Amino acid sequence: MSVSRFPVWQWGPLTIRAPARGAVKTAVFGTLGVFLALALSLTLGEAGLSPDRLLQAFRGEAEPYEHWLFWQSRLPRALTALGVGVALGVAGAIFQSLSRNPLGSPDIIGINAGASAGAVLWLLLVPGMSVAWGALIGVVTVLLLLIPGMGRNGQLSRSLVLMGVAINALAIALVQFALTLVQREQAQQMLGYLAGSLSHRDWQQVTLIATTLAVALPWLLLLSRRLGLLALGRDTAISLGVPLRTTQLLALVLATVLALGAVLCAGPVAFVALVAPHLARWNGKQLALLRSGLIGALLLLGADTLTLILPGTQRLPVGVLTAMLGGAYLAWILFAELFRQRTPS
Amino acid sequence: MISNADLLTEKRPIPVSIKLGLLTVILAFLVLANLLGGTRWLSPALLMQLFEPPGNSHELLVLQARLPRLLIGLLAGMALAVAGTVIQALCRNPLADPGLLGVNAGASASLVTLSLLPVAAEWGLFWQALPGALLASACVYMLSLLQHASGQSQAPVRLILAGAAISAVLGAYVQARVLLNPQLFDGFRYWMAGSLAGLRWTDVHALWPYLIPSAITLWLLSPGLNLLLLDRSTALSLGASLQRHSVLAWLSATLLCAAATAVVGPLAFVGLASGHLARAWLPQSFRLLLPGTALIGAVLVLLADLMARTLLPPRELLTGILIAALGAPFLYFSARSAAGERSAS
Repeated sequence: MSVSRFPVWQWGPLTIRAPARGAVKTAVFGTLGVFLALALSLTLGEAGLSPDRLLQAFRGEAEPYEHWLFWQSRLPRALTALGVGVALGVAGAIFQSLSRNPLGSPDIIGINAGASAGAVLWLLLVPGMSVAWGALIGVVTVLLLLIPGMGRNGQLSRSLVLMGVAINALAIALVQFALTLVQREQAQQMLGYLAGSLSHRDWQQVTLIATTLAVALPWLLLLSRRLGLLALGRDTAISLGVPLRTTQLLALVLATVLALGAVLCAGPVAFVALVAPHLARWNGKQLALLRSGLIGALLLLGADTLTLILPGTQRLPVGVLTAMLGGAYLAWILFAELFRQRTPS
Repeated sequence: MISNADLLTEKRPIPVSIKLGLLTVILAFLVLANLLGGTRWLSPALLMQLFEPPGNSHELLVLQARLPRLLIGLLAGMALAVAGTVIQALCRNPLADPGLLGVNAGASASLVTLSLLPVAAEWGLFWQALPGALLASACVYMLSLLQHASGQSQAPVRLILAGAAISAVLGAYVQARVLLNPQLFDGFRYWMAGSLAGLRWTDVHALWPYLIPSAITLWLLSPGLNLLLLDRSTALSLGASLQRHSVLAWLSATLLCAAATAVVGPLAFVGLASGHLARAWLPQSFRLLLPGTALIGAVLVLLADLMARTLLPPRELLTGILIAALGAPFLYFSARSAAGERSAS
């Protein structure tokens, strides 16, 4: 691994370290990729705007309808997709690193299912108010249930994941049960929410996800060095002076906040949190929070654009598409990993 | 098995025959309670006329309608429990459960696929669900074989996570189909939640031809399965033909759980919990484990069904949600206590 962390400038207590070459490359390519994806997402689709109209709308010179389309429909939707993708990618990377398991993402250990169950039960019990509160209660409950999974010395990989699987199964059973209690139309509506959708987003969602990211990301970047050390193994991390329990607890809470923000804005979108960290680690084993977030954003925006342009999928929520794509990818890595480990022996 | 501590304190273990007898008595009691209990309790005197023609007695009609439901609960509980125990031995994984490993999701996926095909529209839920359950089970078997070949230390958790991932993918597929075909949803949302309601004699007749041969096969295989409980090299040196045994045993176990799932819908946790309890209570020999788990599984399902029908008298809850509510805390707390033990040591 070539770590080029020089030069270093120092003025008294202040140290500025030039970022590693890899990080610069990631940032440049990431920004380019995000702009490209944003442009594609805004121009493609049935109600897409051609590039010159896009510019007009951006400068505020377009007709009222296109102005509305750009500012109130397409742009918030694309920005929500980007923000939710970042949140999911980063949250997934942290969960996988904490559980030391490439499959330990919020989808599998019950965060998404907890949000779904909370939302559905909320719809049943308090029909008038926004589902978001139910999702919030569901996610917090799951978090409280997961925290005892961290033993005193910070052994959490196995038990955390298993407890998550149990919570997940119970939450799914609750959702299925709730679906049988209501009329067909309401059940359909619930099902649409449960898949995770990006249609009809407005600036409220953009603000919410941006706030979540602004709150959680700086903390996580401060933590990322410790998390990287933790990924080297428990004993190594302890001997290097990492306060295990605090680090893990803080990371768990922050990752849950990110996942929660994503759920509140787009519903439980599946598999982005699982796949993005994998893709981010493609050339190494180190924890790559930002890269994972960028890839998550690109994945979600890309999937959303696909639902706009593929024939016959307009009515499908984006979560169904991400689940299918992610599932295919997952099957591939599972088998690839098993075969790779088989051959040397 | 008698440990040193038992010898020192002269604490004699309860004989196996008494344990099995006790289970049988509990089961018999539950059978009666299931026949008589419900939204309306019937008088025990009616049991005498159970097999007589109903005449004009409304209560006798109710009693006779409860009979197929009882039989299916009994058979499905036994089948799921036995399948769980055998699969746990075959995977050498105390956490394996056909439901958690993707058989349930496979059954749902094939149900939503086949019920829209004109050819398969007349087949009924059972035949539409069976192929997917079998296919998913075959996938999991291949995964676990590969895992043994690669000799991974983390195999138990990996397999469970792979199962959860497969379930999530198939779940997304089901969601997509259901969102695009609302009328499909209404037909099977009760099945999806796991329900014993509305079962008839035709379902009993569909179920038993699969269960009896598989159960007999497993019984005949039990000496070979005992060897599987030893570690692999010992088993090989004792001359067990592991391949043939495992393939046959897996096939029978799959048939058991696939058939049961096709009739009663996804009931997770029965196999997991009853396998666990049986291994804790009974000697490690399949001649005793098989009947023991069958009894425990039947007790669990009948208990859940009785609770489903009697907890909220005017309404009837679904059996699936009660089994999940009983089973999920079981997995959760066993994982949690494992975390506590490891951190204490």
